[in-house]
Amino acid sequence: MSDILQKLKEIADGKVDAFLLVVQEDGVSLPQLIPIDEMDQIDHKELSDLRYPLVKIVEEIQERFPNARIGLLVRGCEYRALIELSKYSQINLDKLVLVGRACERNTVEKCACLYPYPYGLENVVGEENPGIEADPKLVEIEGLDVSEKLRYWASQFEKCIKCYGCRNICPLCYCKECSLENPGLVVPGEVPPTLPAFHFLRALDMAGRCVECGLCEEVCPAGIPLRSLYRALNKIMEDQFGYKPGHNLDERSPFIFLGETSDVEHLI
Amino acid sequence: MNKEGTAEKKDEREEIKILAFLCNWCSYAGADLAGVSRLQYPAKVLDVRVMCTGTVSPYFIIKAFQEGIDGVLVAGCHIGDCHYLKGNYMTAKRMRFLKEALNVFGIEKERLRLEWVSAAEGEKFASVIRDFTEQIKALGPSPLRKDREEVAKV
Ligand code: SF4
Ligand code: SF4
Ligand code: FES
Repeated sequence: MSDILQKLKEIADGKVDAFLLVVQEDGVSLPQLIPIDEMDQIDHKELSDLRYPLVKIVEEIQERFPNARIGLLVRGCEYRALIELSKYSQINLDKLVLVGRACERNTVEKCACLYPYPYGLENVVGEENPGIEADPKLVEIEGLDVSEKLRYWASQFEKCIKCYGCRNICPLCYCKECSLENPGLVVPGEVPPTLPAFHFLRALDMAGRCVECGLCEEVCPAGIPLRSLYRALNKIMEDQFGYKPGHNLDERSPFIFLGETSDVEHLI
Repeated sequence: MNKEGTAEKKDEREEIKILAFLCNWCSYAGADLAGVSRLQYPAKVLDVRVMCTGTVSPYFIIKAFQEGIDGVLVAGCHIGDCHYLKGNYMTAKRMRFLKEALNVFGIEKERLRLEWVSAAEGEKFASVIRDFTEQIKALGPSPLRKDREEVAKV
């Protein structure tokens, strides 16, 4: 663990004002912002293995202190989230010093992750492990016919207690006004929310944006396979437009921009 | 009286409801032309005039299904004729995506249809409506209709 921190310290030396890390103290994992002048503290820190929506904190820090330079340790999903967010001008990658972290095999399996490595980052610690081949839940859902699918989703969404945890933890959900709180679309106070609005609206918004980190699914108290739904839509996005969120800094979601780049000839 | 009442209710259940988003500049005028020319097409279509099909958010379509609509038609200017130049480019991309997404959700993708109808194409408008109505009739009422309890009973 501590060699990872050493590496981060080495690489970020002189280039950052603070480190943002999830550390473990007395058995509790918490995010900590460690200023550079307290850097020797880092030697005594124990890095946590917990997956934490650190990216959301980075967004907030950058919003309030646009010039702060921050050192971060990122997993594959976090790196993808940063890339995707930078396309929507929510993150300034120039102010971040990133060191990648390959996920261990057990993490890969626990997360059912397809891309457990921050591809494209220069400095990465740990050995690259292959991702899983396919999301088993999605494979199951894809086997259903269309009316069975609706029944399947209905039985899942019926469990929703509308805690908004899925939205709150999502690194890609940065809107100040959320459509899920629009009373014209989602009836306030109605639990469970009427099919299909709440979940299908969120799903549509995540298409081409979701980096498949799985935090929403992990946090959902009702155990709804949210990420599998978003993955299904990301697959359509890839089939139709060749777009994969968070994978390439130079490509943009076909739903963001019109302009000359919107090639529709093949759609007509 | 009572009997009639029940019959009426049954009719209502069987009746197909179609919502059509029509762009002000082309398809709405096309629909108007179809009407002025007295072309025959099923009248049970609720239309919503929008300034451009590019303003039709996928939210509206999900909301329409939530409110018990059986089929949604989006009709606008032909590609290249959009009065806001590229509004319908976005529509083309969105609708193509949304059809597949509906399938993932468990709503038949045939319940959503995109058509380009110009102001001069009254006949095309009438035939699109006729054809779409037949298509939706064949599919039957939407599984999300509130008067159908199937989905609720899981
Ligand atoms: S998996 Fe869930 S939390 Fe992660 S980016 Fe996608 S929607 Fe957001
Ligand atoms: S986290 Fe789960 S229970 Fe909470 S709002 Fe999202 S889907 Fe519903
Ligand atoms: S103005 Fe008709 S589709 Fe844009």
